[in-house]
Amino acid sequence: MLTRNISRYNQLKLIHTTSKNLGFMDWFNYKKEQEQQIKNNNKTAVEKPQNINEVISNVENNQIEFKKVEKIEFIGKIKNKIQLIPIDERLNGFKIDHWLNKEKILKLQDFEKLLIDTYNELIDDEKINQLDQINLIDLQLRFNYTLKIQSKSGYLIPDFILTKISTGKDLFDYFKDKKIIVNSNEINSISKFQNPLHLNLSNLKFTAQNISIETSINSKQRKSNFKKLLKLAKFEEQNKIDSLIQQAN
Amino acid sequence: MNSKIYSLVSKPSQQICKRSIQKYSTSSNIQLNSQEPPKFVLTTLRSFPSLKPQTFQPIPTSLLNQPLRRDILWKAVVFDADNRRVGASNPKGRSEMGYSRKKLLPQKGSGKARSGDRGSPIRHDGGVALARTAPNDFTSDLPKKVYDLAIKIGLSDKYRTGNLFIINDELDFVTGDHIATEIFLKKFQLKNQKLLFITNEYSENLVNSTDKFKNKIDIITKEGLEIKDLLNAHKVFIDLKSLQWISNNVDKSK
Repeated sequence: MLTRNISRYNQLKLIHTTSKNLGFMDWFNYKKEQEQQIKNNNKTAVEKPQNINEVISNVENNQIEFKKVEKIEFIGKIKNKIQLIPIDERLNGFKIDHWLNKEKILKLQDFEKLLIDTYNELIDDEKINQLDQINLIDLQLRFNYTLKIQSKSGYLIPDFILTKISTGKDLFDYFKDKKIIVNSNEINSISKFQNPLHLNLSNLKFTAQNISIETSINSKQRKSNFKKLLKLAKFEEQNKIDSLIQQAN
Repeated sequence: MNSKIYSLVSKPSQQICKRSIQKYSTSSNIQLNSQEPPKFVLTTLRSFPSLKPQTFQPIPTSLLNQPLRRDILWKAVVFDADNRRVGASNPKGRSEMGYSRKKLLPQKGSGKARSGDRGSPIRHDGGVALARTAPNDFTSDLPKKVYDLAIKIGLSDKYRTGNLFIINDELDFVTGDHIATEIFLKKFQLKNQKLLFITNEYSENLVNSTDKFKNKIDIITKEGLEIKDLLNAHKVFIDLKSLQWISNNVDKSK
């Protein structure tokens, strides 16, 4: 049958005619059988790799399980060899000490109380009750005090601010002016809508041509954040309207 | 005598008198209300990777509190960019094409446009008009003092904005696995930010661990620090030994 003039395509076709033909429903039947097998054995077919966030949280809480992995021999190349190594071997004792409080202080009133209480803890002589009375001229005291404030409040204080402060009021003003911490009545309204993720810095105008702003958030993220906030604003607006209508009735 | 003068003149004039007395008196040269600018700024030495403060370290203001000078930064960036050019462009000129140098047509009488030889730059297969021979040198000059000042300005800017972290220990991870970097980035919410690590020596684990994030994280040894690296980074991590080296080599005004 084969002649010298046969095309390359036809040659290939002839070679592959021996392959097994499967019907349209065979795949579904095969899957069904597989599922039934899993149900009977009460276990998953393939153990899924752990989520990276779970692994990180486990490491943070020192909950690493030491599992001995048996070597499985199979044919073919291993794509990602690192995944076969146990996580504790991969980390090699890597650990980050947790000295910053995970729950950050959100209200200014709480922060003020923290500033005064921490100072009273460190100073034995006289107890104070005002921010102006916090004296941070002694550098050793300033270091110990600011370390405690950072660890309890959950915020890192820049070195330049640590250089400039001499009283507790300076520190309080820094957090207040930068709106890192806000008043308790502003938390619901301001903190949601003053999220720095949705700020559009490209609206700022500069006269010089050689100045441009590069944000860490791309336009796609910014759009999605903006949409979320818009949704939230509409929801709150609707809630307010409903409550006003109810009050009027 | 002074009290007599003060009783005679009004309050604002009293101050002027006071200043003039201070100015012209031989006993004291210090003017009233004058304050010497601070010579040191405080930095926090931190442990790595927890970034926990260990102690305060005063650093000269000449190194970490330089006023922002955009013009100097601009000069330094241009200088770096010029020096980075390889200059490998090597286009052939009309004499290097290997064609005949005979004029293709007579100047007049052919009814066609004027033409020179076959290698003429106006012909589609002719040579390049402004030919060069590689390597081409595009380097420009900048006084070392100006470049050093730019480095100091860059560091000062990062310091003032709270984006400079000085590490007391060795700036390296104990493992070269990328999971260590992932934990570090997640812990300090640095995932979308460009980071710069300036190390004293080559840190193998840090380089291997951050390899997955090489678009966002740069690692350089202290000798290779360029001003563009500092300006590109959102946050800069530098070990104390590297800062001391920069202070000795860059900051001569101590």
